[in-house]
Formats: sequence, structure tokens, C-alpha cells
Amino acid sequence: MRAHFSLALLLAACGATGDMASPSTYVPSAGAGPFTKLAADPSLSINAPFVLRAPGADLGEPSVIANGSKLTLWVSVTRTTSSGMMSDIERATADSALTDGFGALTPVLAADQPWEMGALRSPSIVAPSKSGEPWLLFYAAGGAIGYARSTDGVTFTKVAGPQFIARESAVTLDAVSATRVGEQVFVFYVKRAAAWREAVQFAALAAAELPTSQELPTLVVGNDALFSTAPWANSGIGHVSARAVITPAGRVRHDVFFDAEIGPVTSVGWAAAFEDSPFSIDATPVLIGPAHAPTVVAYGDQSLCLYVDQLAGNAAIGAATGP
Amino acid sequence: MKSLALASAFAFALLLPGRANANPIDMFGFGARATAMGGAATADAEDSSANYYNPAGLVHGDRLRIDIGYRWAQPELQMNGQSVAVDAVHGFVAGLVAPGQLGPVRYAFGAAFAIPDARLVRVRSLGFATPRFPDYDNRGQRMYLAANLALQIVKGLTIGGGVTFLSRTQGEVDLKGLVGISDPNDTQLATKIDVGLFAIRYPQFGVRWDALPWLTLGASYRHSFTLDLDQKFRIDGDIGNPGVAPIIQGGFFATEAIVHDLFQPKEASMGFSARLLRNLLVNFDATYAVWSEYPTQPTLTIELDIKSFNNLVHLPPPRSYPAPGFHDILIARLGGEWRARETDATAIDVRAGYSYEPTPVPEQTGESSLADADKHTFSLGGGLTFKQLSPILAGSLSFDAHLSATYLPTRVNHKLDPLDLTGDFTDGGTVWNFGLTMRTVF
Repeated sequence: MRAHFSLALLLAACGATGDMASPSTYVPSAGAGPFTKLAADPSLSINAPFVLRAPGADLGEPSVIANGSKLTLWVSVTRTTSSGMMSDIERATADSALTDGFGALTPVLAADQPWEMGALRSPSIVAPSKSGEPWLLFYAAGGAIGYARSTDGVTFTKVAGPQFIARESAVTLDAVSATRVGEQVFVFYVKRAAAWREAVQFAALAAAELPTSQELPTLVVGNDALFSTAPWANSGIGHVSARAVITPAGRVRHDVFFDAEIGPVTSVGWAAAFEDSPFSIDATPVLIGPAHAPTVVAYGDQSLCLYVDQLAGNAAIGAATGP
Repeated sequence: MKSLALASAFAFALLLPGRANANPIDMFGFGARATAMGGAATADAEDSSANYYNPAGLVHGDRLRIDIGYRWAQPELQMNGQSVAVDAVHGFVAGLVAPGQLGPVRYAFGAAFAIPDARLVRVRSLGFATPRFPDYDNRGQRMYLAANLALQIVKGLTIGGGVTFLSRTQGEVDLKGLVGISDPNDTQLATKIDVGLFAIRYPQFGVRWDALPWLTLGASYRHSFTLDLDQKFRIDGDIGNPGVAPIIQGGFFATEAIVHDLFQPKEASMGFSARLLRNLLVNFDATYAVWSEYPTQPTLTIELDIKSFNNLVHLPPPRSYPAPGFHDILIARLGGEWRARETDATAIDVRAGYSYEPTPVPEQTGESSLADADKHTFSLGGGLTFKQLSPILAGSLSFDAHLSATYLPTRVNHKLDPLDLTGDFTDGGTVWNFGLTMRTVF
């Protein structure tokens, strides 16, 4: 009787349960790769890894922002016209960039100022941080840097320029990428195959009258280079794309993604610095090329790197993902 | 009584060959009663939980006890404010206490085990830099078995000790044959995989003294252990093409990785149990845990012999990893039990507890990203005891329940290197622990 009772108690205490592993797979990451190009997938409508192309035109230097899964891209588009090669800045959006690619390009800014010499390159967007502030769209042209403003992020009006020129005569500023931290805008650019940075007040950039009847004072820039090459590269810096990240610890980390050459192949590197500290450069590329003019954005639970590569004789926008 | 002791000893002997693999009990406690009292049981535990808290307590009863229960612990942990995948730990806990007397010497055997019901053991090898909660990530995903013997030295003074059984893992993959140099499809390799679990054990012992009719003092010690995961890979053979003399004959490539799968520090506990009122029992424990011995991670060795081509290949030296820098901690535990109602047939107890366990893990500024924070554990519980079940049961039958919440306040980790792939991160969260135990005194 006692044994039966004990057995009954033991059985009553036993129950079967399954394993309920947590579905989350979140792993903290700096969000700077390493990146892997999208794999070809015949079931997709895009020609992966390419997510945007314009037949007969060369796309270059993408700048992208993400709003949830929606991406908005600004890119330089170079076409051959009756007056020769012309580069303007155009815009495209994507609801599902990695599966459906970007939609049609629409013009944003054209080269219509003498100093721009017929080509606008290297667009870089600075979105407003609060309502009432303008969007800023920086671009490189004629060896200098200018910018335009917008109230809706779609229609931009140029501020008479150029706004940034090199300190040295006959030296060009070849690419631009701008970030905003609080009330400061950091303008990164390439000069003499090195990466440089200039800090300006957002208020000064936003306050100029629209349309401009008088030019803002032109900034003469270029005191100290941030870095001029990478440990893995045998060339200087070809293009820079910057972003300012507020880390979970609440401090600012400046990321600069750049391209440089390993032998004949251009790949993507990463340099970073906390706040005002010197930049450190990753010892290995974060995206093995061929890949030019990268830009990186947080996208869902991963990071997305858009870059430029050749597709069927024209430069197109490819995509790579990473942590 | 003698037959009971013999039967229990036999059961104890049956348990010994079973394989056990480390210690979820350190994380979540043993038994609903002690857990509800904040884990402050060094001077109090007399049921099968004494196998863990203080083996000296086993000899305080004079009847066979069998306890069985179920525990569910659910970590709700976050890094950077986002939930991370830390699996729940749930399974059965059980134990027995078999007292006896040999001449003037009172003794008791005890055994306790915890068996996860999702898996018996999980072995995981993570990269050095992989972010994780070392305290919760994999520590509870394994079996636990402890066996102890306790003796009464004089009336009111008892000692006890025993061993806890664990295992380490070793695996080896061997490939032998020909590696095709012109066409990889010509490669012919035979594969041998040999993986095993090898037993290790660590001791524990304790002492307990009934200093006053209302005050009991206790002390216990649990030794440290490290569970290593030893993985080897070796390929032996010739390199060439089938049917012709090989370019390299008798070459080999071998790697061995040893990582630390689990570490448990030495722990020394001292505590008291004071019956301050007829219906009120108050327990307190202080535990010193030697986390500073946390081992440096891991070692990887690579060997290559391709004969006359050795000069063409330069293997990097094994990289060294920085010391983890853990530090020793002092854990405080406080618990109380209030007998809310008692009749000749039943008793109802209400329990509560609190413990504070500072983190031994330093702020993560380097390559590793070990998430941890100070732990504040608040616990509640209750017990219902049936004292008169004769003739079905000569002793008593108790049902205990506990619910505890361990709160880890958010901790911020600033990395020194802006290129760190994990980057700055925060960690924190709550760990819920619920359990039921049925205690039977025969």
C-alpha cells in the first residue's frame, strides 16, 4: 500500500514539457559588416546582387536612408547626351530592396551652375532631426562641394556655391559625405586620395535664405587628413561615406566606409572613431570587391551596404548584407 | 530503519554509474523551500536540498525522505534593449535522504539530481568575441548529480561531504587517405569520428552546529571545476593523383581547440538559522565565490607537415587571449519562514527571501563581450504539510512552491576599440524561476 502510494505520488509529480527555446536571435553588433553580396536567386525579379540599374547610364556614389523596411536612395546618374557626358542626382525608393530592388529613378538636382562643370557627383543626404528643419543634400562638383536644401526631401533648391573648396589651389575635393551630430554637421570628403573632415554648424547651413540672393562664405578646408590608406590596400582612398552612430552606451561613433584597391580589385574598408578621437582603420576589408563607393545603413536586424559595380557595361548599384 | 537505510544505499549505488554534466543548481537553487527563502539554507537545510546547500544537514532527520519536484526558469535577458536568445531551463529535481545508525554513530546518505526535460546536456563552443551571458547561456543546460554522506560527531554537531559528478567533452575527427591535387574529386578519405564524455568530479563538504536551542550555525564548501570542450581534427595522407607516386607522402594537418565550456568557482558559505519566534525562522548566508580563477579562453594549436613544402607555408603562432579579469564576489542571502497556520493534521508556511550577488564580470572593454550584471533576487513561496497520513504514510507529506525574480539592472559596456565588431553594448534583464516540490517523509 505504501509503495503504491509512493509510486502514485511520483507519477503525479511527473509531467512532460517541451523545449521552448526563445525565438530571438539578436546578437549585438557594431553594424559594420563584414558584408556578403546578395546571392543570385532566379526566383527574384532583381539580378542579385544588383538592386538598381539604369540601362545606358552609369550609377555612382549612392546615399541611402532607411525608414523601417523602406529605403530612399540618392545616386549620381551619368548619361551621354548631345552635349556630352552629363551627371545629375536622382532619387529612387524601395519597399523591399533585397527582393524587388529599387523603383524608377526621378531627377533631383542637375548641374546648372558654371562651377559645377556639368556634373554633380557623390550625393549625401542629411535628414532633419525634427520637424521644421530642412533636408540637406551635399554633392561634389567641379572639384568642390556644394549643397541644396529641401523642406520635403523630394524637391531641393541649391544654395549658391561652391560651399567648400580646397585650401590648395588646383586641388580638388573628389567626394563628399555628411553626417549630423546634434547641432554639428560633419562633412567628410576626399582630397589627394585621403579622407578629411570639416565640422560646421547645422544652423549656418539651414539659415541661408532660399533662394539665395547672396552666397554663403565659402569654407576653405583641409588642415589634417583623417587617414590616407588602409593596411590592406595598395592605393589611396577613392570614396568616403560617413555615418554617425549613437552607440548603446550613448556616445557618438563616427564610421567612414571607403573604397581602396587591393591589386586590381577595389574593395570596401571601414574606419571609425569615438567622438573626437583619432580614426582607427580595420585591418581587413569589410566587403571584398569589386565594389566601389559604398554606403552603409542599418536595415532591419542587419546592416545593408550598397555599392557600385559593373553590370552589362554600365555601373549599377549592388547590395551586400552583414551584421 | 536498517532496511530502509540499506535500500537507500542500494538506490544510491544505482545512481552512481549515471553520468551527470554540471550544475544548474548553482543558478536556480535546489528545492522550492530553500529557493523561496533566498537560497539561505546553509544552516537550515535538512531535506534532500542539503545535498547541495550543506551535506551536514542530511543527518538531522531520522526517517527516509524522498523529494521530487519540477522547476522552470525563464531568462528574459536583453542586450542593447533587445531580447537575446537564452533558453529556458526546466526539468525535474529529486533527491533522497537515508538516515541510519551504526552503533553510536548516526549517519545519513544523500543523493540529489536535476534532469532537464528538454535535453540532458548541451555543449556549445562559441567564438571568443561572441556576445553572451556566461551565467545563463549554457550553464543550466545539463544534468546534475550529487552524492553525500553525513555523520553526527556529537549531539548538535554534524559534518557531511561528498562529490558532484560532471563530465568534460572530447571529440576527434580523423581523415585518412589520398588528397587529389589535380582534381578534388579524386580525393579518397576515410573518416573516423570519436566523441566522448569523460567524468570529472568535485568535492563538497560542510559542518553544522546547533549552537543554541534556537540558533544553528553552518558552513559549507564547494570546490571549483572547469568543463573543457576538447575538439581535434586531423587529416593524414598522401597528396597527389591516383595511380602515380604522390607528391607528398605521409603528410598531415592537425588542429586542436580547447575551449572552456563551463566554469564554477570555489564557493565557501557561512550562515545561521535562527528561530526568533515560535512561528518565525530567519536564515542568513554569506557566500564567497572565487571567480578570479575564471580561466583564460581558449587555445588553438595547428600542425602541418607537408614534407619538402613546409618552407612554403608559414603558420601563424597560436594567438593569445587576454585574461577575462573576473573578480571574487561576496553573495548575501536572507530568507524567512512564517508558520501561518498549524493544526495536528496540517501546517501552512509562508516564505520569502532576498539575495544580492554582485557580478564577477568586469565591464567589457576589449574583444570579449560577456554580459552580466549585479543580481537582485526576490523570492516568495509557501508550503502545505500533511502530518497525519497514517496508515498510508507514517511520516509527513509537504507540497512547496516558489516564485523568484532575479533582476539584473542595465549595465553599460564601453569598448576601447571603435572597430570592435560588437561595439558598445548594454545588458540586463530579469530571470524568472518557478518550482514545485513534493517532500515525503516516510
